[in-house]
Amino acid sequence: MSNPILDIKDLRVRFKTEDGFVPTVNGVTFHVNEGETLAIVGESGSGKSVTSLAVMGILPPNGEVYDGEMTFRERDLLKISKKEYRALRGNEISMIFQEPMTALNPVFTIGYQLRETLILHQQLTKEAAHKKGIEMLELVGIPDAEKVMSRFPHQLSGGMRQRVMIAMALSCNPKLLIADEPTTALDVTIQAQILTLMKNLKEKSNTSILIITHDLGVVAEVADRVIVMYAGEVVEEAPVFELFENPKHPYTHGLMASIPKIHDVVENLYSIEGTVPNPTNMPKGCKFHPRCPLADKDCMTIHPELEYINSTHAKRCIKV
Amino acid sequence: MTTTLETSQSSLNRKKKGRFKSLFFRLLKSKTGFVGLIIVLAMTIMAILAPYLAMYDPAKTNIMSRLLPPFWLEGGTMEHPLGTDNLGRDVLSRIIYGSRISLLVGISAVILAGIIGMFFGLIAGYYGKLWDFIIMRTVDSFLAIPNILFMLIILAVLGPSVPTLILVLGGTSWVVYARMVRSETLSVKERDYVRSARAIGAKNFRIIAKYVLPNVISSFIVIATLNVASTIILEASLSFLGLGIQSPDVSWGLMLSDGREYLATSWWVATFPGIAITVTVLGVIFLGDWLRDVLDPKIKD
Amino acid sequence: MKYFLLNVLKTIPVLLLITLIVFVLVRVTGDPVSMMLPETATDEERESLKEALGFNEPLPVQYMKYLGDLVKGDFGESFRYDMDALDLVLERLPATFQLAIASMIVAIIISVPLGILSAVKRNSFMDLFITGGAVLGKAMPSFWLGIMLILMFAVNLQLFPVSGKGGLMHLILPAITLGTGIAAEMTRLIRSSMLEILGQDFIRTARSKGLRESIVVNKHAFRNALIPVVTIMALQTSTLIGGTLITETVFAWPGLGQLLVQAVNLRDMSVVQAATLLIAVFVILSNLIADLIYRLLDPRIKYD
Repeated sequence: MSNPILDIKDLRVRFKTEDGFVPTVNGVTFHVNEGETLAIVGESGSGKSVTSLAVMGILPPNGEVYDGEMTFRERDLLKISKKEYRALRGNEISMIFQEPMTALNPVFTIGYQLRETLILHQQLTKEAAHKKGIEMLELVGIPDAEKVMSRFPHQLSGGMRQRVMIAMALSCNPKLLIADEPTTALDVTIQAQILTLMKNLKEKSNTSILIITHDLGVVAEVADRVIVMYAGEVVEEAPVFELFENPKHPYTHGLMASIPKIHDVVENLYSIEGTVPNPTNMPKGCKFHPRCPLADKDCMTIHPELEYINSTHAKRCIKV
Repeated sequence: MTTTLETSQSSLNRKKKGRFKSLFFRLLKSKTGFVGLIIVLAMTIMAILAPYLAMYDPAKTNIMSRLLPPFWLEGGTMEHPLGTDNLGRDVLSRIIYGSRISLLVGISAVILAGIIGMFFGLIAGYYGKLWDFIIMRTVDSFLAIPNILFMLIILAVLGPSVPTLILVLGGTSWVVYARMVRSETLSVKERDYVRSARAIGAKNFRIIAKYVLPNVISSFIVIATLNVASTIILEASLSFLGLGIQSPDVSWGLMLSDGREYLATSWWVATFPGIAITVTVLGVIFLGDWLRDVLDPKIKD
Repeated sequence: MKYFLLNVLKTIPVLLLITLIVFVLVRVTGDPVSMMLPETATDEERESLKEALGFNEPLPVQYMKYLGDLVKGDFGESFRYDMDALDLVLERLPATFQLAIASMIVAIIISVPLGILSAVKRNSFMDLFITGGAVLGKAMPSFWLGIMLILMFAVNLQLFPVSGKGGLMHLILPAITLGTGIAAEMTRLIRSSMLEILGQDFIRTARSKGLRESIVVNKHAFRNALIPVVTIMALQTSTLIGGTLITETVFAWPGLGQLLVQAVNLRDMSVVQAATLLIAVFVILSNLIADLIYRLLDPRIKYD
């Protein structure tokens, strides 16, 4: 289990804008073990999606990794050629996105979009790819798979499209699946179905999953280990049970408290005050201090390091 | 995505502050917009001061100095810096005077078209129903006949002259404004404050003046500016085809038509007026594109 | 199909209006009788011709008769060429089609690669160069461009014939002249359409599949970007035909455009109206086709 297939060290990403470079990921370190599901949790703007795009090597044209290391199965992702990277994408590492409504190309059929990956990475003939495509659709629980192959994306529901995305992402048996908020845009019952589907598929294929979400419910459902990100940094890292049992960082506490529990009367819905700081105007010291209930003078000046309290649990806070 | 959001927010903020001051400030920041403004200003000054700037009477022929080349070629002199045409008229002086017709016709035709188009667009959008049907089908009919053909026929029937030319150019290009004003009016009409104004019995005229006009005016200015560019080209084209400006008036299109005959021996006669048209139109387009970015981020191309 | 038929029905009032406009322009505003007769004609001769042509009847009656003639395919006689106006126009049509198609090909060859390139290399020097060129192409009057091409390639370099119709060589300069303006417009359109599409989620998906950037751009993005471009271009038929009037005159290309300009100058109104009506029908037809193409390119729109 403890054999990392993805190892990220001190990753730093910045975006070029009219007003100069804006750093959005500031020294993120984590790893994903074989067969493991790692969740990255944080609010929007925490840099979690950018991290995942950096791993895929598909940052927008104005974004760049300017420091750090990314190793995937002993290959240095920052050193390999574009061609080698392309051979990995959609093949050994694949990705599903938040918006199933817009993530599929509206002018091509489902079949075309499924076959494309298979023909590219597995050198299948069109017929063989078609057959495999139908198999994949059936695997993700789409009824009438044969018919769906000739449909266009707009003819399917959001849940169906996300299933298609999953089928597409898994069609080449990836070693790592990155799922960026895969259920956020779906309604609750469909969410549960998609998560169960992902869990089942993972158990069958031993694929590692890196799931990015802001929803701790999703984390509890699927993750083995969790890292919590805030303002482009990891603020806490722990196995999932440990995190829910014994959260350390005040930000994690805040996230936990904002999950509505079924038995609670909803009037006391705690949420963290304030918003994620703008990357162009980061607070000094601990980046969370303006919103932190525990913050004092030290927090305004000292930028805490990520420290391990045991072999698996780390936090970035001087107060706890 | 974020940048558009930011610009719309910042332009909102700016709207509250001095609008014209910031407009000018932003004009200086946009290189092409600034170049456009300089060209348009230069052309306007040239048109106004033509009698003082031109060295010769543009219509004055001189058989002794026919088809003289520009000064940098053998046989050319500084007396006629850009040479002379087949009748010995000074090309530079004619280009200077030609700017008058180009701008006069271009701008007045656009104003005329704008007024007609605004009027019909408001009626179609505001009153709807039968009015809308009639006006919009008329617009479609106008759009089905190529602009230039339409103009040629009318000019052939009425006979060419400067006022007719303005009338024709304006009377055939109003449809673009009618369409734009109509669709804006339709959307404004359904807004809550306009509905309630109607409900409490405000006069139609008052509603149009108070709520509808301010909403269409910025798109209107942008389209009008860009339309000046195409009108200048159309005027030149009509003059080139022989149904626009007639001698002894001077028009760049007419000069081109004259120069075409002497292309093999005297290239400059047809070349310089074309450059004048291109530069002027370029300036107007730059200015219009910049205005669009600033005033009306909604319309794209 | 139902939708298409509905659209066809919608064109009927437009067609009627066009005949009315042409009728007003040609019959009412001008004085066709004096154009047909020599200047020495007497008043009696004028009067009898007027009577014979039905010009003394009330205007609505005249218009109805005129419509009746049109339906029968009678567009009148060209007094200049002494033949049926419609026949004359139809005879010139193929040359104009040839020019129009060649110009479209020129425009596509120029604008597709340049439009894509400038969108992909957004804000680069290359982008600046291409968009600058496109604005310049828009600002240049086509007749001047034509004259300059003649000056350069026909007069000075003598690579192409100066004017007239013949083989492929005769077609090249006119096609470039007419095609450049369209290319300029199309380049701008393709660029802005591509820019919008390249920011879409499904492009990110295509990249995440490991596709080559060239396939992402030329297939996934361009196929989508094409939808608005084709639609808007098909709606430009009227401009394209307007352009042939000038280009054909510059290059003495014996097509409909040249015929029209001559007919207008000679006040040969039967030819003018026949050609105008034909062009209008053609423009309306191409707008209908544009709508069909749009539906074909975009599967999101249903054919109900």
